[in-house]
Amino acid sequence: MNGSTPALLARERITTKLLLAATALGLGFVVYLFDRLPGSAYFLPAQWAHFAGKPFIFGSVGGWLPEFAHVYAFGLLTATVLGTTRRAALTGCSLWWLIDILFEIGQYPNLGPHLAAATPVWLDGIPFLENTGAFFARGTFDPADLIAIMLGALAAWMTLSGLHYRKESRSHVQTQ
Amino acid sequence: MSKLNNHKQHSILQRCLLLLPVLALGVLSIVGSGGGPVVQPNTTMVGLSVGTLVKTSGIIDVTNNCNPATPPAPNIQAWWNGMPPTNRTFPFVGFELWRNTTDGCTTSRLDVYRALVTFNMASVSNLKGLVNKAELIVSTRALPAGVTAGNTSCVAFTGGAGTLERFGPAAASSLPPVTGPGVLTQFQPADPFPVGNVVFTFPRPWTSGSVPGAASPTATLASGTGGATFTVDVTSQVTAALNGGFPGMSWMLTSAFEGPLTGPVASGGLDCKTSYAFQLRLTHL
Repeated sequence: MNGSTPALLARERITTKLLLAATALGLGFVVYLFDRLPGSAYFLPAQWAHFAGKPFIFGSVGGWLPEFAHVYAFGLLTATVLGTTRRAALTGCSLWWLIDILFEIGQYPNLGPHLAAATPVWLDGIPFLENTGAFFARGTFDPADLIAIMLGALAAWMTLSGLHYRKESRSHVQTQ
Repeated sequence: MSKLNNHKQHSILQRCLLLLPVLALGVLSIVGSGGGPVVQPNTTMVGLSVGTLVKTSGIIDVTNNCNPATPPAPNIQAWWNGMPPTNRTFPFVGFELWRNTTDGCTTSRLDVYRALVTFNMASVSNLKGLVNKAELIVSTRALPAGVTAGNTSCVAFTGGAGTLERFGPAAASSLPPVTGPGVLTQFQPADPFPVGNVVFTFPRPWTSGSVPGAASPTATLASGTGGATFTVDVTSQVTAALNGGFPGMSWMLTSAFEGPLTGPVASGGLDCKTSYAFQLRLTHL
């Protein structure tokens, strides 16, 4: 058995997914830290950006990598919570594809100010949520982000499929 | 059957409880990733120390009677001491020509002035990583009487300024002294002036607009008081100095005419000492 019981394999799968998600999120954060102007994001205070004025290290990739990483990471995390079935994987990936797409479209110049105006006042003072209006009003809509979000969801789906297929095959062989 | 249903319900509830923080974290990270607070750029003027450098050279007439000197030779130290303290904080660049005209005497003298400025970068070290733009602003404060039509070395708008030179961050310690109130340093004829890297040559005649051939983007405009202002984009140098933790950044104006004299100076001489003001303006978050 080599200690590879179904329970251990399941734990191994979860660990792999969590590590991949954490890596993707970390990568997205690094892009913000190095390649975004100080103060350009709510969670990025001006004092954190010690590298402003230096050439952007991620180049054009830095423009869309965080969106890709976000939908990829949260697709994996949600699927991990929902279970190991293909339906869980599909739900996790499509849910975050939809959420990210809606937020991105919400930054469209003709739409963003209206959404910002409609943002409830009671969100003010709540950490992060208080930035909702600013997110829609001052965020930048970029069609490349829509593609990145789609690719991120697709990559998460492929990762989950590949992971489960590989593990299921291994599990199947071992139990024969 | 009932136990199985209970177990299933418990499992669904557990998943929902786990899903909530994931959803919350995901949405919050989206909201927090954009539309940062509107940050108004701030402007900081960097503190500075200045110095006026002067070196004298000339031609001595040994064949004619040159005593007493007419007019008397310029006394540099007396001129400096007699100046209002405020004026010493605006260093001088240019030159002064003197000719002794007693009984056909041809003795002539050239005093070359250079303006040196060092900005105190240590005082703005807290702006490391926050500077969006850095501009060196060099402007004429007082034009000399020697600015006359047809004189190619002492021209309108810029007087006796020849070039702007930049020194590397490590050069500050080897440069002549500079102080807040301004200091005069007289060089011996054999002593060389410090040598920097030319940023731009003052256009002669002066014309407004972009300065051609400048090593750093430079634009010049008339100051409205008969002089001119030069604005040099020094963002990359300032960023490098702040990142490197260098305590100072120095620039120097050289004279439009630094000799040597090849013959006697025309009677009456020429005063082309021009006073300049320096500012280093940082635009930052």
